[in-house]
Amino acid sequence: MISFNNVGMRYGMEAEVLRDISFELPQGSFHFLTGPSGAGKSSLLKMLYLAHRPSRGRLEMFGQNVTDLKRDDLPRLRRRIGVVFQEFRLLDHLTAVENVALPLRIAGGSGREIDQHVEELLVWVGLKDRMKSRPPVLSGGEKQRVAIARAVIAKPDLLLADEPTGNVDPAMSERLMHLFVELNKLGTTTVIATHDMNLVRKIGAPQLHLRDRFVSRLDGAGDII
Amino acid sequence: MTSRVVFLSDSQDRAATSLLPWVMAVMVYLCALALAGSLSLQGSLTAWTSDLTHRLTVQITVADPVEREKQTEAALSYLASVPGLESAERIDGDAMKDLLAPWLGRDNITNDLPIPSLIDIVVEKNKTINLTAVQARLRTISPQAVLDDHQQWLGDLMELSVVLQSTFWGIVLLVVLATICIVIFGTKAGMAEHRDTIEIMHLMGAHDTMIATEFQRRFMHHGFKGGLIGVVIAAITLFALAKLITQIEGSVLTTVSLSWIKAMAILLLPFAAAVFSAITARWTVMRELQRML
Ligand SMILES: Nc1ncnc2c1ncn2[C@@H]1O[C@H](COP(=O)(O)OP(=O)(O)OP(=O)(O)O)[C@@H](O)[C@H]1O
Ligand SMILES: [Mg+2]
Repeated sequence: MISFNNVGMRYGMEAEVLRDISFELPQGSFHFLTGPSGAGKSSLLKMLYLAHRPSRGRLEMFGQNVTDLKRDDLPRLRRRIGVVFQEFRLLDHLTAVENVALPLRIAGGSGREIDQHVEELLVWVGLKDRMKSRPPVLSGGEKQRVAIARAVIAKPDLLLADEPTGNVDPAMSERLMHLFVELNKLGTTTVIATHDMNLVRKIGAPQLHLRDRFVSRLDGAGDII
Repeated sequence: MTSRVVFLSDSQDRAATSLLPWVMAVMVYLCALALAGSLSLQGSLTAWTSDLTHRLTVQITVADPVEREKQTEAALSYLASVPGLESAERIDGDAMKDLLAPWLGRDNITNDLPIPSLIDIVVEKNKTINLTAVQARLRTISPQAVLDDHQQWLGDLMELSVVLQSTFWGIVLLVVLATICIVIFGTKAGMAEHRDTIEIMHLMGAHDTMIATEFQRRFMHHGFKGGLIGVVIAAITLFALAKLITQIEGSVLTTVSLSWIKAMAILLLPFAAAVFSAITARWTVMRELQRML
């Protein structure tokens, strides 16, 4: 599904923020991406959601070498990826419902069915009373839940979440994690960047640990595999 | 097929694009005036030329009134025999006085003032007259007779009109070019304003065409709105001008007018502005997006 082979990444002409990254994620796997702040978790995810290309090495996704992708190939692949951005990136002038419905509309869906589906999901993440609110009037945790709903609404093949529970209380964060776990059971390959080691332990999924620009794999208990 | 996804807010526009309809209004206003100028000139020219081409004037300039009278009568009776003429009439003394009064003052036109006699000839429609033959024959009747077919004047008029027409069309062309530039700048500014939104749309898998369609829709809207404002102000200006012109009685300007069909062409300008803006915006967005990841 995803394979990194000696991948390096840099911003512009600066020094590499990731170097010699090699690992594989099988289809339908569930991983946490951990590591200290500034280790490059968000940067790694950026490559996975095709916003940034590796500066060297080979990154394969969905059976294609990312470096070979043409501009016109990107939309088709991106529609198979759901992303929760660290800074949410909701559209401020659209309501919660409209924001969450966006991936479905971009994929060509329309009509009442979408709205119903979207509303059900928003109820599930506890935003029953915030459906028609726009992001600027939502709290950090509420925005985060809208962002999560937007990422999972289209049942993507790959879900990438960057600190998706950083702004909610432990109970809600566990509830949201279960949303990801449920989606993963349906076959979605999942990568979740987080600092919350309690949560990592609770879910018990393996970790990709980033440190000193390298990645190591840890199993659910924190031992290096 | 591109499905339309509304993702840009209309209230989010900042200075760059919110001014666009107004600039558009100015452009369409200028364009409408130039077009009106060109189209009405065209109409009045055909009116003048068709009027003048079947009109001739004979001028007999003899100082002695008796001799002048004799030659005029002879010329008139000759002209009556020329085939293809609808009429040949002498412009009588009162009419001549009316013609001269603005220049000389009515009181200064005394009966002994040597005024040449004028014969106004109307050629039958679709007939041509052998001017040289008529001229030669008239010379034998009155050596000073001058047959004027207004060609000189018409020629000058034509030349002036060609210059005016090219000026008007030049203005239209420049305005169109300036408008395209403005729409390109506006689109780029709009894209910069919504850069983050565009990026998010891309990351969620939106095609360039989807993004371009949304910008195209907005700019079509801006173009039409501006066009409408411009054309309304132009209509007011043109009506005021038309009113002024009709007040200048007897002037050649009275034949300056716009037919309804031509006026309709000007009323189509807002639609043209909308289409132009839409196409330009789409083209600009598609081109700019190629540079983004
Ligand atoms: N757009 C950018 N341009 C240049 N450098 C960047 C950019 N984004 C991140 N960096 C740098 O890349 C490195 C990794 O940043 P990144 O955001 O990937 O870390 P992170 O692991 O997500 O941190 P955090 O846990 O705080 O979110 C940092 O040193 C950061 O300064
Ligand atoms: Mg980060």
